[in-house]
Amino acid sequence: MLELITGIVVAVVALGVVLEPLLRAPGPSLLPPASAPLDDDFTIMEESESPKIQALLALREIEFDKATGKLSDADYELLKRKYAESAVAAIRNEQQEEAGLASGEGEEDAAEAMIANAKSRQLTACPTCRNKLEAASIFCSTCGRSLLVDDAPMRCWMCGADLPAAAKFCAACGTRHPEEIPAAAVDS
Amino acid sequence: MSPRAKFLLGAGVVVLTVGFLMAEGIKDTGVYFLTPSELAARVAGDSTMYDVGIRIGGNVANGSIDRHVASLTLKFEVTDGAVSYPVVYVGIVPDTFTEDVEVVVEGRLTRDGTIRATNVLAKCGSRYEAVPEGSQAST
Amino acid sequence: MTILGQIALGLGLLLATWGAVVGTIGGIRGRPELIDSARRAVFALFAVIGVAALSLLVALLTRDFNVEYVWSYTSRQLPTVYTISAFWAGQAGSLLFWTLILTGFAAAAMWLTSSRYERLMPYVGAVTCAVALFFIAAMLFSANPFDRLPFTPADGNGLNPQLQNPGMAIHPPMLYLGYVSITIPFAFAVAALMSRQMDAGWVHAIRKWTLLSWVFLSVGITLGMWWAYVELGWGGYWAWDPVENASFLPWLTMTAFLHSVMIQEKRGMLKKWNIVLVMLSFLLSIFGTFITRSGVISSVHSFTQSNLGYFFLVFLVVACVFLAWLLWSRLPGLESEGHLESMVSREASFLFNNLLLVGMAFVILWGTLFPIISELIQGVQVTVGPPFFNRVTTPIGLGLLALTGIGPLIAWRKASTSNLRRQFTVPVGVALVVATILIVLQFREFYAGVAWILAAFVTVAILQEFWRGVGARHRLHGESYALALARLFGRNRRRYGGYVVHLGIVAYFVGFTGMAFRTDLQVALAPGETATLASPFGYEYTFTHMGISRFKALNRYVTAATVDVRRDGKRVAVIRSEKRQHFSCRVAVSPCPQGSESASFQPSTEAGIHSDYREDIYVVFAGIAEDTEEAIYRFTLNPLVWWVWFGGGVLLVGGVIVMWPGGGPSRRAPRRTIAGYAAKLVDEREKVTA
Repeated sequence: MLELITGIVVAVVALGVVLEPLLRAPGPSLLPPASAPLDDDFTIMEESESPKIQALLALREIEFDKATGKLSDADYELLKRKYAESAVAAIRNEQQEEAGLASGEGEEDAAEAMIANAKSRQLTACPTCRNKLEAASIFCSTCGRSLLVDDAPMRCWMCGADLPAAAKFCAACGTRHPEEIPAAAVDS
Repeated sequence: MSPRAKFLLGAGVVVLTVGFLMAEGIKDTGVYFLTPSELAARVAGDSTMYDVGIRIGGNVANGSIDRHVASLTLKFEVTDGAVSYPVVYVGIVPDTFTEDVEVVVEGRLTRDGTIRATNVLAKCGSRYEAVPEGSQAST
Repeated sequence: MTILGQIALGLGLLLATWGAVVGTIGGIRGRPELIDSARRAVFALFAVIGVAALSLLVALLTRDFNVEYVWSYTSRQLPTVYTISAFWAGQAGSLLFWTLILTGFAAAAMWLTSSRYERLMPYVGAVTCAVALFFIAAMLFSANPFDRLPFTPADGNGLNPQLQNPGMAIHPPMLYLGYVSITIPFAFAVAALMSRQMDAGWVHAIRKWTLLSWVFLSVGITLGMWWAYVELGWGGYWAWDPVENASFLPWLTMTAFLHSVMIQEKRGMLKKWNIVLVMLSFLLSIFGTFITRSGVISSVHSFTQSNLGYFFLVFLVVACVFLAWLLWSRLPGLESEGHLESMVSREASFLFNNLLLVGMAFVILWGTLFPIISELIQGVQVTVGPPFFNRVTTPIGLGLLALTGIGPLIAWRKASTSNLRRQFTVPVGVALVVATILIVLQFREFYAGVAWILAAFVTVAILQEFWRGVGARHRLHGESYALALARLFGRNRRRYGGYVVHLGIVAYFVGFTGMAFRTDLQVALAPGETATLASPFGYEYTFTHMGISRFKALNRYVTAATVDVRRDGKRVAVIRSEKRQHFSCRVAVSPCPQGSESASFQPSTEAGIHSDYREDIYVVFAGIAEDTEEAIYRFTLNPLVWWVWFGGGVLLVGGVIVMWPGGGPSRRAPRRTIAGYAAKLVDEREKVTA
């Protein structure tokens, strides 16, 4: 009799525990979104899917393999170059994505506004190199200066070095900068 | 030649070698496993059954066991109920070997109709199949 | 306690079905409440099977002979240890034991697996539940451990004396742990296919499980060998018996998997092959249980014949069909990412290792099933025995041994000639020295000689790996040699622990070669008479029969014969071998009063063994000539057997090193190193491009 009661208690508890989640309100689906977020929060490095981590681990490994004599110098150089390249590429990629993520979303409107602002100013010449601009451009096609930001540093149109505001020659390469700036063309 | 093709070639060599070893192994070491009746039937039609390795499965005939301790010689008959063959074996038999037990005899059949055994295996269960005492009384 | 047990089993059936069905649906639909419910079903299932197991244990310990299972496998005089081990001595009990371990592993997997694999978990639960469902159904409908007899016998039938041995008490659980734990990697593989998450995730998730089951299988098989050696009395430890083969088959495929999975992790190759291997291992482990339990192939162990065989057969067929379909439908997602770059690379050596292991498994499976195959084709049973297996597997085994040494010495991807020379000079040199010595000594046993040469090669190769690893750390990090060795293990336990396992395998091979040098002698001796036997090591052993004694122990009559053993005239041991006749008691009194004993089982033999690292002296007392003190003996000299058990120990140590949780490097340190390294790398690159 005692056994039977124990059995029933076990049954009730087990079924209760198993069926309880069904009584709850159904939550959101656990199916993953189409693209999974970037995986850098790894706990065990070997398990990370990030190409950066994988390339860095491979580099670490070939260092050790070379030290134990498993890799000849030529092979080592070859492999090292290969992995270093892929690691750097992965790092760049990641930084860009991070930057993209950081400037995305919230600041998107601000960026749009800047572009609209720049277009509305209708610059005819680049404030830096004084070359003529195409209509509604965002960058100067000659020196690459951004036209969105007013206080972008002046740059040498020859070598691209930053210049102090009233410079007449580039300190880096000595190129002479045009003096006459038609103020109206810049500010209007 | 690409590494893949080389690997496939190597794999082919390995597989063929293993296959060859296997086929040869079965040809050289495979033995018929027969009951005494089957053996009798085969011997009747095929004299090559003498003096080749065979395995005979059957039971030890009741009252047929004859041990000679000093020379470690054991004689008994293996039977499947219909046909039985005398067996001669020199050596130690397993503990499980008694009358009526199921045995496998490895050896060869000589021209005089005796099986010269090289090995005798007796079947053991993890379970001793006995009827509980008193079961007749209660049923 | 049978009512509680029955209820628990019934509940188990219900929960397992629920877990399997709801887990699958929840996984496909992504419904959190269903997934949660199925997850809980796995835990509840473990609890419920635990209750059933406890009920059986209580029934055994209280010696409730009304329960058929208890009556069949225990008796009043059976020591408590063996009363507990009777749990897995019989059919129904071992099924329950299987299920208990399986559900325990399933619960552990659900509990311990990192949440990063949560997409896989509903399917993992579902697969383990489905397997458990099969075993519970087999128990309920074919071999129920809680069946009662219509009356209560006074004493039980007792445990087969051959199972009354410490090795036999722990060998089946170990082997079962190995068999059953394969289910977890298998469940992850199936989960990866079902959820279409076929990247390397599942491979990472099961890394420890794979190794765990491999270590259990290895230890289980080795203990089985030890049991056969000590208890069966024929002087060897491996007879290529179907039951032994059945345990060896999943071991082979798991070994192949352990290696090939590394190629998948490193190179993204062999994805399909790995899934096939893990499926094969699972099917073979079920097949092993099937062979052990159904007696479909006659074997010395051949335990019982019952309709249980059909359950297994149906399960195997259904599982095969389902797995084939699953694999077929998911093939497009399993394309290889890398490709073989050179024949002289570690990948290639692993591929050959896989080929040989699977080839060996195939040969053994073929040989084991040959009686059935030949009967189907030729209409007559043709059996192949140890000569066949030895002949075919020895060359394959030696090939594998060679690869054990070659693999670690070659780099991944591609090895150049110069570094091959650097790596192979010393090991090959040592191997050649050994070969020269053997030739000078005019050594006759070809395979044993090759095995020793290869063993020397592999050992030196592994030691060189350790030596160079320590040297490299010493140079790169300025660590002392001892610290460098410790860190070497710590930082890459998988590699260096693996090397330790390889050393264990070498020891096994050395032990196996000893079998080529067995010598034995069967003789009848009167008290005081002596027999002599020359050992392959050049010693001469003298055996003197000292006498026979008879006595009654707890649950058996014992006849013991004692010999005095001298090596070249100096005594090495006095060895006793026993003949035992077990009995059960007609009355419910302990100890059993004189005259109430009734003999159960056939008599059994206890071999006397004196073991050292050179050779074992193995004495079997085979009987007495009627009414005399003259004893029949078999004396066997088994060289090098000790090395097999030693190899088992080394293998276990290596396995533990690899699996040891935590320890190792902290997680933060390498992250910092990696971050620093990445920054440095970017700087360097920018300098190059500037």
